Amino acid sequence: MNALAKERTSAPEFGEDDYDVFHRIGTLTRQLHDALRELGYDIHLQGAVGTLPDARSRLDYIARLTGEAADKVLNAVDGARLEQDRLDERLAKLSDAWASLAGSDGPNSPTPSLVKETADYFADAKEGGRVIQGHLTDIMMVQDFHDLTGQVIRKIADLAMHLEEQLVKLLVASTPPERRGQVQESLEGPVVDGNRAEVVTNQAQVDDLLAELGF
Amino acid sequence: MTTAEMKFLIVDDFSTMRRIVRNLLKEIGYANADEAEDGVVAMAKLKGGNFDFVVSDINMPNMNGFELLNQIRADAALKGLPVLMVTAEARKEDIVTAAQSGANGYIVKPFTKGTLEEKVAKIVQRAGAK
Repeated sequence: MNALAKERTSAPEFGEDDYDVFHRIGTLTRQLHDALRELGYDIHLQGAVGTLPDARSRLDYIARLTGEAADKVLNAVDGARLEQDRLDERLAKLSDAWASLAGSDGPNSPTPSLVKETADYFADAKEGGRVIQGHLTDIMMVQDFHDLTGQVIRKIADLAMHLEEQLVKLLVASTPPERRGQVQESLEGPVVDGNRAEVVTNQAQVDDLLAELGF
Repeated sequence: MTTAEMKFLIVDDFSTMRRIVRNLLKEIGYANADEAEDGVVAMAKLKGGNFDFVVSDINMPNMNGFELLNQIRADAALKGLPVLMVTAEARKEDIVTAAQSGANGYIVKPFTKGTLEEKVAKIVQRAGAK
């Protein structure tokens, strides 16, 4: 870009020289092209292009892990809710049965104080059950972070893909024809974790690997 | 048919959100629900399945919530179906578009159980009053 800066300072103000507007645009375009060609040799630009697929892969990883975590929490909430529903149902039945004993005076009748204490406990358990259900709803609701963050991650991943495409075009366009094949070859394909032979993706693969090694 | 027997279709590309909405609907008394991951799947299910209420996201692949809403309103058999949009799209123009396209309600994520309950009850009440 130094050439561009030089042009800006050395060329006279528009209107004070003999160049017409189109000629100046032509000159700038040539200089821009030359500058881009220089960029074609710039290892940093190639490096930036090369890291974008990896960045997308990492974003996908975040989206997948948060999704799995949210699912596990929702499974646990469903399980806890089923159990709480079951206990609530039993509590209601037992509470009704116990209430019918209040005031009975047979030889095996519970004492009035026991009836009251038990009834108090049933009321407490019922209220506790209601509070637990409320907490379960809260736990479930906050799992919406997966949807909300997932949408942001998707947008950033799309942006990275678009940026990568543009950078690749820029890089290829600014590279001399004899080196283009080399550049395109070095840019092929995004890095996808699941496709990499050097990594494992679950515990079963770890166990298999260890077994293969004789552990 | 009682309101509790109403059949809901929950349309969202995120499975987590579908589960949340489904569980919330169950909590507020609507246990009969099915799910679709985008507008295309939703339309196919709606055409074959006697649904009474649609809860739909907007930003989805293949067919988004606006397109789904338009297709529902353009379909002779489905045009009267209540549609509640539940979405992270909080731009006023989206809300206006939804209203102009015939949405019966619009909830912005993140939302609460109380909000969903209130909007669904209002729409069910209006539908029943017609």
